[in-house]
Amino acid sequence: MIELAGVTKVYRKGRVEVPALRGADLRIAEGEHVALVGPSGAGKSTLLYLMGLMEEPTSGRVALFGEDVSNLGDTARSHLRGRTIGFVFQAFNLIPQLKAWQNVALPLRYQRVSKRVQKERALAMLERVGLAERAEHYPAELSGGEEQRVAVARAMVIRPRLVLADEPTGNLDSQSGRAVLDLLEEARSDGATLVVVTHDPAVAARAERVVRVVDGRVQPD
Amino acid sequence: MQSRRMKLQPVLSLASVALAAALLLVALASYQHAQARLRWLVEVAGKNVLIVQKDDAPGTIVPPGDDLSSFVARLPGYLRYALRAEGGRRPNAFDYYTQYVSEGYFSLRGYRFLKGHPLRQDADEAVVGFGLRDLLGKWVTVKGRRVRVVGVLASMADRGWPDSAVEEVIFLPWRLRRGAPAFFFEFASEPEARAALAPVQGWLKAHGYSNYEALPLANLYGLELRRKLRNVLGGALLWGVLAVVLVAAASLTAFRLARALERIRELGIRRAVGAARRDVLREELAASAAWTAWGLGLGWPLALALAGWFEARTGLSARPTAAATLTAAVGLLALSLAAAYFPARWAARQPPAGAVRGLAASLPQKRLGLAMLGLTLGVAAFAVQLGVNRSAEEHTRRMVGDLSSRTAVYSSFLFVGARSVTDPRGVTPLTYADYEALLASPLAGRIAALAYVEAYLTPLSGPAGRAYAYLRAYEDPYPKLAGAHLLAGRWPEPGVHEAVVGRLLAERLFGANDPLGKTLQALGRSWKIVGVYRGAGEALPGNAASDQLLVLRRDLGGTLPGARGEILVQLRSEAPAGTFEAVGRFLTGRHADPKLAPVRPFTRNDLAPEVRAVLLELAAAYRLLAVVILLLAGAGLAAQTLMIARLETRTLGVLRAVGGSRARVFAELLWPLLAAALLAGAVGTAAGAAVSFLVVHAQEATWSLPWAQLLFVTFAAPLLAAVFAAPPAWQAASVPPAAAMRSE
Ligand SMILES: Nc1ncnc2c1ncn2[C@@H]1O[C@H](COP(=O)(O)OP(=O)(O)O)[C@@H](O)[C@H]1O
Ligand SMILES: [Mg+2]
Repeated sequence: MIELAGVTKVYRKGRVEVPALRGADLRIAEGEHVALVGPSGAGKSTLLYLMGLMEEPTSGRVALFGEDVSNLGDTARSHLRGRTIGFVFQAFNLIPQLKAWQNVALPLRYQRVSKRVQKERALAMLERVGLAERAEHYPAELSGGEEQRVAVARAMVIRPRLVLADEPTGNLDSQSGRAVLDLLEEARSDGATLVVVTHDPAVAARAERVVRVVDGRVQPD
Repeated sequence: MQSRRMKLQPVLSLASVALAAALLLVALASYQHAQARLRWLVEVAGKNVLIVQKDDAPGTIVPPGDDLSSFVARLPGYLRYALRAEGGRRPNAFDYYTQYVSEGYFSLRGYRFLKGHPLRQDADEAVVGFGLRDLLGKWVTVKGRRVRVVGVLASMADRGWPDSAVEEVIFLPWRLRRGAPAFFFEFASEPEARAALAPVQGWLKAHGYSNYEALPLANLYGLELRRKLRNVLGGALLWGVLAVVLVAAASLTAFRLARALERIRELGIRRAVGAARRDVLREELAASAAWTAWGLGLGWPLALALAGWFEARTGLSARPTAAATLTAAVGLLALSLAAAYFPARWAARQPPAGAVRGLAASLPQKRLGLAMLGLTLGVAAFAVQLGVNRSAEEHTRRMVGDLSSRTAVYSSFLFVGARSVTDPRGVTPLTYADYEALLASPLAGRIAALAYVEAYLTPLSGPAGRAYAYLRAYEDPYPKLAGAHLLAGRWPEPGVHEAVVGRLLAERLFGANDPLGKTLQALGRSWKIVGVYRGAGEALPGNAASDQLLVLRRDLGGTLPGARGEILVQLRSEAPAGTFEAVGRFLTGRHADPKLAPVRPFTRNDLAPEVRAVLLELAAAYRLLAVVILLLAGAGLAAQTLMIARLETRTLGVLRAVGGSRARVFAELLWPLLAAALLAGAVGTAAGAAVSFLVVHAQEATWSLPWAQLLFVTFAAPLLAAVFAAPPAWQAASVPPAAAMRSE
């Protein structure tokens, strides 16, 4: 389902080279719930961004749903990303100028879905995360926990096959964090694969498999 | 706080787009109207007409006749011809200033009738100029012959110098003529008329009419001069508009780039949820086009208001025509798409991972540099405009004469002693006694400088040729008042019969030889040439043109027959309005002859009124363009500052949270901007001066650096930055720290 083989990623800034990944190998099966753990700076986020087609590897092979995506062009990558992958970030990353429901509807907008259907599905998603009455509010008018639930709704609105969450509870209190995780796990009931980056042992404990990332490599189990 | 700021920003962006649209509209419209004025300037009468006339060299001649007419009639494009003979060019030989004209003369010259109709060739009928309109319907005796005045021409004063000379002429039938004919040949087009010139000249030469010359009639209307003027003025205008467009483009690009930077995180999020690069690009372009459409919609009424204000102040229309609106709309749309494209492309190419990590927030130097790009271009464009305008103005002044607006000429067009001029509108002859009386009068207190000069038409001959030229016998400070500049040698000393010769006259008489030290015979004595001068403008009353000879009047030992007296008056700057007219009344009163027309002041605005009018209007258009440039650069800067401030909201919040006062944060925000603006001013000024130098040289005009203005421009940039950037900076500094920290 997800397969990374010998993946490296080097960030360049002028003459300075920062190797974030130094040959990572990882396989994740369809429908699996995996937690990525490891020290800060180990390359967890980078790994997640590569799986989510948000970045391209410097070398190595990335395959998604049995298809090599290393050499896909931007349009195809964007297409795949928009229709199959849901992202949740630590810093929420909502668009402050858009209302809650508009933030949720955002992915649908790039799928040529009619405005009316966009709003219907966004409101239905907000209902599912328990924020139906906050639909018309701007992100700055919501609490952190509410913002992250809106972000989860945005990830779920496309009925993703793959949900990627980068420390989704990192900015939240434990109660809000649990609520967010519950919502993420609900997605799995539809058959989605869930990959969560975390350094909270309680969060990692909820996963079926814990993968350790150290110094740009995936540690063998 | 957050939501208020969120609403304020689109309002401000929209306002600046609307302002840009309005300014562009007004600039284009004023360009269009000014261009129309310039076209009008060269639409002179007689463009398709060749005139064949006796030249001004002395000597009796046998004029050509039907042989010439039938030759010209065979040339391509020929339409028709008319004839004219002068009845009153020679001193003391006339009762009226008369011209004998053939059938069709008035319509060929384009003279319109105020009242009545053209004269019949076989009747004792006459037509008079506008100045003699009282004679309509009367019988008058001209050269011993009684004729009835059947028509009056409309006033020609606004058609320029050669036509205003017919205001006081009586036109008589061709059959009564004395003197040599002038031929007017009309062709179907200007090129055909020009093409006929050489064959006609060749024919004149081949048939021995060496005293006859052929030239395009339009030359008498200063067409060449007007064309040069149009090129110089039109060139400056075009550069002004180009500068406006350039600044608008730079401001828009910097604005869009700042906006893309500001939105880089948002664009990253959009990419993360599935937007492809081309989705982002398309959205950004669509947004830019939408802004432009709104801006145009709102800018249109603003442009109308601006144009109304401008028109009320300057008289030059800037009202957007349909064409200007369409051009501005299409242009602005294209401009905004182009301005949005590269920033949007850059933004779309950022990997979404980097964007959501917030990488763009660490590019402050780049942002400041971009903000300054618009300003640098604005300053450069402003400097180009100043340089080019200055050269255009100087060029123009050289072409149309140098009399200051505080100077007037009082002239006797007819001759001293020609008291047989009994026409009701005859002109008062001015004399040296009038000048002395004016000097002694109370009016002298309002006069800064006063000069008397007598003009004598006299034959001159030198080793290289002959000329029939004006000799001007002057009292100081005539050369200075008339704008004559010494090119070589010195001015004459009294008592030793010295003269200075005009550059053109010197060429004609002496060819390539140095005229200094040579002598010339005129008015019964010999004059030693001690200097060469360059005159101002054309041979108009009072002007010391370059084809004349200047001597001191006291060397003549009194006024000689044939003198035309002229008095030049330069007023003190504090002289009350109406002083010119008061001097005219004073001079009129000294002659107290009810049969003579009153003495009128002749100011430089009368010399070439339509050229001056166009010049004034264009000067207004230049100023408008300059202001537009500065406003565009300023508005762009303000919008960018706002974005920088927004981008730095977090930083500002942190600064405030750790104890920075509002004033302190404000200063920290503004200082680098001011420093960069000073740099932008210096760089822009230098670049602009260089470009204006190249432009002016390409136009074959002389370039002079307006130092004071350039210095002003250099400091205008930081001034502009302060004025336009301070409000958004202050707004940003005023954010409560808590709100700043909360903003996502
Ligand atoms: N855009 C970038 N430019 C340079 N270095 C980067 C960039 N993004 C991440 N890094 C570096 O890559 C390494 C891995 O980062 P990251 O994947 O965010 O780690 P983690 O999420 O495990 O904390 C770190 O050393 C980080 O400094
Ligand atoms: Mg991380």
